[in-house]
Amino acid sequence: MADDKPPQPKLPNVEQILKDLQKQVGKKLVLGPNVLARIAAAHARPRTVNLDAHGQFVPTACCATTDVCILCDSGDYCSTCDAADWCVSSDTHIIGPT
Amino acid sequence: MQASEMPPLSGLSLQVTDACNLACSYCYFREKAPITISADTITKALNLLECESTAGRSWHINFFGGEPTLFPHLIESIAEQTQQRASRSGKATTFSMTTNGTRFDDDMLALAKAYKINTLLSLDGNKKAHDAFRVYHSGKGSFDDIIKNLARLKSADGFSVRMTISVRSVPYLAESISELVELGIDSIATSVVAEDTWTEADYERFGEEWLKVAALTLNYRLRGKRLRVKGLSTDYGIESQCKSHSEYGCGAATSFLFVDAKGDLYPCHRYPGYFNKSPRVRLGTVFTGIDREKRARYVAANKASAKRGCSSFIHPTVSSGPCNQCAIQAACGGACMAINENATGDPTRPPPVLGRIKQIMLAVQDQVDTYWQDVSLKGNPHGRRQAAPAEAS
Repeated sequence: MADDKPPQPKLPNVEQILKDLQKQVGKKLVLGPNVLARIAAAHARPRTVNLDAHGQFVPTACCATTDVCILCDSGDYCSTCDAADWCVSSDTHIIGPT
Repeated sequence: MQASEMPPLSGLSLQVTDACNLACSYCYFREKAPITISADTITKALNLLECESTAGRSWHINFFGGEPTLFPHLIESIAEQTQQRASRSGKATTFSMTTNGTRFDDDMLALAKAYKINTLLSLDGNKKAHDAFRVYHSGKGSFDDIIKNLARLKSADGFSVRMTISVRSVPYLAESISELVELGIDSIATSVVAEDTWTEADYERFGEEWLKVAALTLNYRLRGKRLRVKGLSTDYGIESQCKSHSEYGCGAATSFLFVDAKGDLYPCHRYPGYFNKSPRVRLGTVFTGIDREKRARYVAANKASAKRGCSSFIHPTVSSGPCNQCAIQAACGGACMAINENATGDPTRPPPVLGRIKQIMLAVQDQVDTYWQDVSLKGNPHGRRQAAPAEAS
């Protein structure tokens, strides 16, 4: 019976991915001028801020990464707080459903 | 800052007990007392939260220690009272707990599930890395006992692992994360010990290890699976992570306070540890109320605009400046006030370690972005990047 699935591309293993990354980056890990320029451009773009019915900031609009906050399921971990609680990536650190 | 301009509280971090069954070498709570939070302290703490929060906001309670699971009945009592009070005020509640995982039995899991307590396990990697630091008072490592409880821990709501990275554990970082993944752990938050002395060689080694972690994360994603490692994303790129400058470095003193087992108030849980419960960093008590002048000082100090920047400051055109001008402030937060005050004596003056580590992480993220772009171009079905939340709206 014919297999209708398209052929799967051969996926690299961890070692191969690491070699590819090392080829790109070399040994020194620094933020180069091009990256900084891109970040500056991102800063310059207007932000979308969601407010709830009480005028309070809703964090989902401003959370920077996909990490699921263990508190609000929408944010990020505070990068330094070891209760991993209030979100460093949202302006007002609102937690929980709003 | 005027006391009247202070942001409302939305949560408390409650120290269920000062006691802990472990004696981790890097713990910032140096002197622990075998005391637990009293019924009166719980009531007064919730009174305070009720008074200091505003309409429409949910409440969050974080159960902290010592080790909170030493006293599950206190966790239950706090959770029950919080829910009852919140429901009378029309508010939602969320709970979280930081645990060492050694006592997470069936009853504890049932309790965590009953109140949807998001559970964060402190686990510093594989046995070698973990047992070098996280030991019982006898000196015996705690890794094996945690692994016995791992299935239960993993079934708790919002289960995640918090891995502390110290200079000594850096060489094991990638193998540690790899072994945690093999144990079925797919959500890992990392936290760097800023009190360590980091040399250039340590930073370089950290970068090498973090690149290996990136390779592991990419390998997972190429196979359509998700491995969430804090600071690495195969969904959102570096610009997204650095996009929005935050108003505050974190929630300490701004949206939450730490209540210790005696009822004393601090900006966050690190303060009583670093400063040995000194009245200098105390913000009042649940019995006498918040010292508003002192809280206002910490709220002001926690503003990103107040933070003075560190020697790792980075910007396309200027070489130094305050944190709110730094290109990576949104990802770094300007360190935490407690770390700052502990390291430099000034809550607004960060030590360079966290900013430097964050820059390395972001540099690796940039490499991940480039790699992922190539993968997408080559047509891997899992290689399509999602729009960042703000971009999607």
